[in-house]
Amino acid sequence: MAIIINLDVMLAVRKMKSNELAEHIGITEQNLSILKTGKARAVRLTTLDAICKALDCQPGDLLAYQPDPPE
Amino acid sequence: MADNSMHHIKRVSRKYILLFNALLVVVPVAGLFYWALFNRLPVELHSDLPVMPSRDLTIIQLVLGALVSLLPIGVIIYGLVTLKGLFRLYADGIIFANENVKYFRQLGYTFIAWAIAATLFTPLISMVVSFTNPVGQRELVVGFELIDIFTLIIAGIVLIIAWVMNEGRKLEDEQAHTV
Repeated sequence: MAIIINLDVMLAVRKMKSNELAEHIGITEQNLSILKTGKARAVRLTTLDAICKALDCQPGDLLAYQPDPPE
Repeated sequence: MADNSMHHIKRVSRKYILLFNALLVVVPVAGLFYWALFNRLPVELHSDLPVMPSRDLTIIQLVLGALVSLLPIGVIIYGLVTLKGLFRLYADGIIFANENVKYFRQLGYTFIAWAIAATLFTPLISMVVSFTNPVGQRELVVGFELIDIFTLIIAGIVLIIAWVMNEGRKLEDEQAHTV
């Protein structure tokens, strides 16, 4: 998928651990791991809203679009 | 899925696995005993055969009969192994995985195989039972019955269910990867 989740970067910037964020936004660590490792197929707006609130950032700080290079 | 429902599914599935394990032993053993004791069994127990034996069967006929019976028995065993695999997944709480779909498809193919086996069994067993009869009394019975048509319809239904389950699997996979 061409959508990149820059969650690790924001967590480092805000000096927050993954488990702290997971507890803060009310999802399991496994689900957060799915997001961090790029395995997520969809993100609920409510989850995105909760992450942005917890990390005090914009959705654009978390999401990036990197298309695959043409063959 | 609610914990109670999943717990119930797992518990019932484990019981069915025990049943399938028992049948995996009983079915072939019963088949073996049927042919081993064929000449001593009451005539009523041979009423399902397409040709009623007019005399005791020879050893060769009994062996051939047992071999021909491997057709339907083999299909039953394949079906039981498939069901066991499917219910093993249910007992482990796996409901909508690729493997579940695969077992449902196999079950559908088992029903098709049963219809074919039953169609082949009839002429073969009629020859086996009657080939030592005097000339003019040997029979070859060929038939395709209503029950075989129903079996094929059920096969189609099960294969459609497998198809639907595959869509369910995709939905669950999507759900599992939605954060």
